Amino acid sequence: MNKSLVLILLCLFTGFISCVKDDFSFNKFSNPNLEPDLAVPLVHSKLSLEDLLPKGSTIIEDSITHNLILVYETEVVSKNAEDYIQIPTQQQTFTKDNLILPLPSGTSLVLPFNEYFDFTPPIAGQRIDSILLKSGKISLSIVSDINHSGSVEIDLPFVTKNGQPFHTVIAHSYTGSIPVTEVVEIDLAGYKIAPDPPVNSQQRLFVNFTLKIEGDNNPDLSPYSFQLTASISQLKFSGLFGYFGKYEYSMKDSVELSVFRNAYEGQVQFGDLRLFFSTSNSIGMPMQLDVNQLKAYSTRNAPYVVDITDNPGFVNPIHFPSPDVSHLGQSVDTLYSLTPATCNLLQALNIAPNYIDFDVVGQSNPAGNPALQNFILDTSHYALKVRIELPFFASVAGFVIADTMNFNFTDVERIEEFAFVMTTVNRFPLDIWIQAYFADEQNVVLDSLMYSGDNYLVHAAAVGPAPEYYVPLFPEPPKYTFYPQPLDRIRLQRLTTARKLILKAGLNTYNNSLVKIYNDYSLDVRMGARIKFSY
Amino acid sequence: MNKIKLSFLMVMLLIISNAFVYAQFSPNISFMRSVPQSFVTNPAAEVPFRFWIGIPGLSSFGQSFDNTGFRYKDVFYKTPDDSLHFDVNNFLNTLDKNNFINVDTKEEILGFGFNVRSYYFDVRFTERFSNSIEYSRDLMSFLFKLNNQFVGKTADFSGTGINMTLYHELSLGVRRKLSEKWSGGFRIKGLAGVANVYSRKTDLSLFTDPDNAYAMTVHSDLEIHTSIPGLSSDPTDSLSFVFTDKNLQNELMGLDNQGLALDLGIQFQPNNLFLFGASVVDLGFINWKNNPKSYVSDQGDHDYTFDGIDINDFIGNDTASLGDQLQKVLDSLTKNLGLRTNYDAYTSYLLTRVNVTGQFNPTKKDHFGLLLQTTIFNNKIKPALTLHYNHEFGKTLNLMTGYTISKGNYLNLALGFSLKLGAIQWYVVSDNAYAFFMPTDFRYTNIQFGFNLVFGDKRDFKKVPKDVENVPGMRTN
Repeated sequence: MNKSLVLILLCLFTGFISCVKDDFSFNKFSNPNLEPDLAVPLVHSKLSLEDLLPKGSTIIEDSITHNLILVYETEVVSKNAEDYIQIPTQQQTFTKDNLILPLPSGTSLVLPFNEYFDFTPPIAGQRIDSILLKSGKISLSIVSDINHSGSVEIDLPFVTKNGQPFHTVIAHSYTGSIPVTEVVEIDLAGYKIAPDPPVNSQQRLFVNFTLKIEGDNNPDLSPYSFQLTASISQLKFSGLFGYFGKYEYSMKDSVELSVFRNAYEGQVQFGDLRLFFSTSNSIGMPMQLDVNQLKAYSTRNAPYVVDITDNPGFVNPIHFPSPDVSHLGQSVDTLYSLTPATCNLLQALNIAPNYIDFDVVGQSNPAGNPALQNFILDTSHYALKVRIELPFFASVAGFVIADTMNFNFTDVERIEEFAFVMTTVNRFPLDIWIQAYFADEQNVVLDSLMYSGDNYLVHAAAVGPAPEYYVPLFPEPPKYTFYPQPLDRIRLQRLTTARKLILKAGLNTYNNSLVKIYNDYSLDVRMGARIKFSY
Repeated sequence: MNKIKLSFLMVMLLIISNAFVYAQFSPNISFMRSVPQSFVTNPAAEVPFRFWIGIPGLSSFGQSFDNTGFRYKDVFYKTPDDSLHFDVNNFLNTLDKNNFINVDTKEEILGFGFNVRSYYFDVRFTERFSNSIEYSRDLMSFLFKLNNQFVGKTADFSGTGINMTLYHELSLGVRRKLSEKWSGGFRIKGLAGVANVYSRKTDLSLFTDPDNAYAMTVHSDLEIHTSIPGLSSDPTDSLSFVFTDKNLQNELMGLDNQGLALDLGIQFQPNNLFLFGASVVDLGFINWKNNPKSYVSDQGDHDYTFDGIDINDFIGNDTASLGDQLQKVLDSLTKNLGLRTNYDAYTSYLLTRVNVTGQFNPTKKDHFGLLLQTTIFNNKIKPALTLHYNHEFGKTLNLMTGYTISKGNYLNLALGFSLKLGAIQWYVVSDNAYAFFMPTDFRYTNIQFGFNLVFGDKRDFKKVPKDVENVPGMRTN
């Protein structure tokens, strides 16, 4: 083989290697130009009425008609009676002066005293027949200049425990200096205090105390002085009987009608409406309810405020019974129903109110008859429940709800096209359309998900004849598939500047007529997306 | 290079990388009687040396690559700006419904053989890496284009599977002349497995429903086994590799994963012009007991439909997050696919090959051959046909050429030689030498080369020896 041939072969081989190496130049690899196209299911849900309503709604089913009723209620509970009625401290001092006590050694002297202890009720004009104490104390203190020892016996015949009158003995111990003082405190838990009936509006407790002095060799320093002070304090009752006069229980609150939380426009006409005041009263006093305010407020629909009580049929105040003494510890429940005939409930619902505000005052012994026998227990209270029932027997026309939420959609660099698909099987007699607007920080709409000409997303199921207006199970309502316009690259880029998503949904009942909603209705929703990427 | 390019290249190179692990033992080498390793395809084949020994570590090294699907040039192309591009459509168009990539690597650490009377014995210790991957066109199409193309249709991933095994092989072969015309042989092999991934069953498909917002239904029936050194099979362990010197040594020795294989062969020589043979090679199994971990569909054929998350889980639940929901979906998918993990020992089977040969020897130096080889994997067979010619320039040089047709591969021109200088023999054989010159344009190639020391060459091209009848293909007149 000559050198030239070797050289040629070497050149050919080198050239060949270079070409081959060039074919595998992965450092010159460019983007692979892939366009993967993903079709993916996103959502499948079978939505009941409860799922579709905003949080905070309660639905009950009428056991007879099986109609569904939307219920909004709130309850205000008064304080317990012991928080309203505090029995004041009762205190009185009994002083005995000029006591002549000739006491030779080995003798003793007994001096009895009968007194009355003034008992003051919490509020003037009240009458306390008896108090059952669950806590409290009596403080007894003596002060004397008697230079002899002895004792003081104290009896309160109308302060009893298990039928036994109160009795106690305090030692009078002279230890070489005067004055002699002694203080005792006794727990009154479980005692019953029964003051005398009022005389000239003053009630009293009979007190009997006896001073017993022993004779000794100490000199007689007569006249002597003796003082007894009794203080009944920190009284907490478990039961209180008598006549307690007028107390007022103020209750203010509001009921949010979350179904209208995001109401935007349009009307809902309910076939039947009810508003209830229900009370639960365990206070043994006649009660009445003064409705100071009952108004519906809407942030969107004029006249924005409707006074529900501004109706000739509305009765104010409302009287409620109370338990008598034979039902001690029990509650008496009552229900007061308001209908569109007795209040402006229809007018209130026409503005799709966000909430109903109420301010009521419960007043005891409204007649002011002191001859009445009242009672309260420490746990006695008064509760008011305001309840609004919206039966789903309604017509909806052009009712639109709207909500705004934050939106951030920035990572679209690789998305070429984004297309939703939605299929529905609807057993609700409601047409539903949905629109999503993409807006910037200043709420300037940049784009929308649907084109304005797009049809209803969900078509209402046809209802059966009155009075049930029932959507039959069979044949199954048709399945609708909806393809919104795909979001192409230009629109997707536009969305990267959007910061808010404004969702709107519109509702119409079947033929804009009255329909009823039943528990077995559902909306089967499937959503999917086709996402075309570009690499 | 950005991340996407890099990720993409990683995936592609993972696939293509097999393409550059050239070649296993050559079908053509079975006709080269001058090379002792020719008996590999048939233990009944005669070795014309009284004694041979491979140079340790160099006696035989073979690698093969066989891809029924695409060629490099089907996948990559260059544009005038000299940049390299991936042609996904052409890549997918070249694929059949089901495609194979077979990679086989074989390194003979030690080998020798010798003649005792009418027997011929050989002993070999070999490292073997065998990897067969089957993939469906739908799977590749799904990976590159996702599933919108399959909306309303079933994407069939069935048959996608892998049988990857790394093992040690110690064999003892015996060949004996049974009669004047018949000879037979067998080779028994003790196997010690190092690593294995074995999909016995992968019945998998995906249906995307156009009428229900792209609801996806996955049909699955899977049985996948693994035994990986260092990967704990303790169910209480997380996925982690734990190596200590001692357990690594044991696991790499493969003594816990024992197996057995058998080669059987027979040859019939009706006269000096013709020689026929049949053999079964690598009929065997390995029982995997070290770190076995298997994933099996516990309900057999099973459908699971994912039709989206339930927004009821979000309604009135301020704490529900999309991440939680996706995790729920994944958990549900795992659960509903019914994949059960077990840690039981299992058995994998070797890629068995059945060979039928015919040889025509018009002269003492010219040999024509025909080999029909069938590879069996996952109950599927893959046939290949080889036509062969070799010419012996005396005892020193032997040149060969051949042509092999296998599924999807029709341009496989074999070239090879053996050169004996004294006792030292060097041989190189490839069944598709074209691949070395056009590396972007092949689906199948292999190479096998090595060095032996050979003694007692019984070939005699000048006169007819007494035992000429024992030399296949030698005419006596």
